[in-house]
Amino acid sequence: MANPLLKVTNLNTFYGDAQALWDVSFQVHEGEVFSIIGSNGAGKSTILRALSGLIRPSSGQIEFSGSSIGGKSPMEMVDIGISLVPEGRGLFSTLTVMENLELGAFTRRARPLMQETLGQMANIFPIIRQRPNQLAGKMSGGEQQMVAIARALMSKPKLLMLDEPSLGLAPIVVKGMFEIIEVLKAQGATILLVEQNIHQALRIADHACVIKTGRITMIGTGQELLTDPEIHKAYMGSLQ
Amino acid sequence: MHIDIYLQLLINGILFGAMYGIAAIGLSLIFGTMRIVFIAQGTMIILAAYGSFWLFNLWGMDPYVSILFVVPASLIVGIGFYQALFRKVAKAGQFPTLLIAFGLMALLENLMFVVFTGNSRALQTSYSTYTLTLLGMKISFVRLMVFVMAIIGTAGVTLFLKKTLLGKAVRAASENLEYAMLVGITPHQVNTVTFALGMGLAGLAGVATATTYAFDPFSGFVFGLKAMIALALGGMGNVAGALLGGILLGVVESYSAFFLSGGWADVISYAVFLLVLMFKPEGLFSKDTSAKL
Repeated sequence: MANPLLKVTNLNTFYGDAQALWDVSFQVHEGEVFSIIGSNGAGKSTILRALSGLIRPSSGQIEFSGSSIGGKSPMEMVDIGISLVPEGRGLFSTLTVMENLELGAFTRRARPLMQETLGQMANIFPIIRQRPNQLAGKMSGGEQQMVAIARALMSKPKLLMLDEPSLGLAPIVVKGMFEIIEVLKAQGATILLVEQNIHQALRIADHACVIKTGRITMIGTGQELLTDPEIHKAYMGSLQ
Repeated sequence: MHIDIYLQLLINGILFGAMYGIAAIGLSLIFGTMRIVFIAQGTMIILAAYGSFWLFNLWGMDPYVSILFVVPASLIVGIGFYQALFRKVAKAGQFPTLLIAFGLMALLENLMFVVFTGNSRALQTSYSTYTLTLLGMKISFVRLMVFVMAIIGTAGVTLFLKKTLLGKAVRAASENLEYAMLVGITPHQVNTVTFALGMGLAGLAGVATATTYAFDPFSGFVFGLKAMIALALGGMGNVAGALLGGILLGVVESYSAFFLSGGWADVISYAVFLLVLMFKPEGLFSKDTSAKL
């Protein structure tokens, strides 16, 4: 197999004295969807926060396209091509849809391509053409999620990270959102997905891992995890 | 009493309050991104007023021409202050930054006292006492110019915030710094911009002060307080609201000074400040309460 786009090795992080991640290791290859599943407070978001530079890992290696990037600032992470859609979507609610998207291309690398990228985004997300001047805070949750994903893509990321994109959305909207993820995947995007909606997250994933109290307890292809009896018992009992 | 006097007082108040408005916008910008209560704003205004005063007295430069020098100089001083004093502690929270701003205020006040003496100064031009008569109302030319400067300053800042990518980044960072960092905005970048803008506005307010008031090195503190009242009236993070808050404060002062006394004008404006903070802390002109602060 080719070299992975993202290689995380023995990552440890702390919140104060409390250790949040214990020797977390996984790899994401170019063009794949990698899902991290687990219950609330297991450390899923912490992994994404470390990868986006919001928190500093206390030890371990993060390699991206072959170079070590652990401890870089959020701005540097966006510039080298890692973009996070945080939990709660992270839009600027007092700014318009268009302003949010423009800021998505704030980095030096993405700024010259802003108009071109905006056109591409409008083709994937029709809402951008329909309501460019609406305040982001006035949109529905599903619409906000679409704009948030589009804004993250404005930075021309090599790795798109989505933190609980289905959280708080109606089932029909969740379905639409996963369809968008498939569209992006078909266009060659590499996506790191954190989800509590385990069934959907595993179905769409090439590879996935389960995280429990800060440790990775299982790792495999999406199919393997989807059919694993342990996972069924622990996380999907009611979804049968 | 004749209705004209009410109208005259209203106009005086509006022209008067516009200056508080300019100062309040600067405070609002600095607080918006850095959560710094920049108490030295008023003293910076007085420093700029001295700049305009000396340019006029030493070289005969018209105060309105001096804007071209005083505002850019204030902008640069603002960047210097941020880099030297606030850059390192911007993350440390409000208390250290408030202390630094307080120390800076005391330092500047005493420095001005030593260099410029404590004498009260006023910039006297040939047109300082010129008045226009409009619909029977007497309007002081220099005060009208303060109002014009306030409108131009507000429009300039609003255009910057709405139309430029950097301005949008400033608004984004004021709303949520972490989300702003996730799109690649660095805190220092927006902090530098807002400090420069805030001080640039202080420069403009300084020229306005010099042309309309007598001032001494210690006039800034009260001015800064008034700007804070204007800000509380208008609502944090709301540029037009800050200007309106200043104008409202000016009108309140104008009426209470006339009907009661100058002393009562201050009592009433501070009382209004407390009342607004108690009952409408988001400001009188704030549209969306959830999104501010």
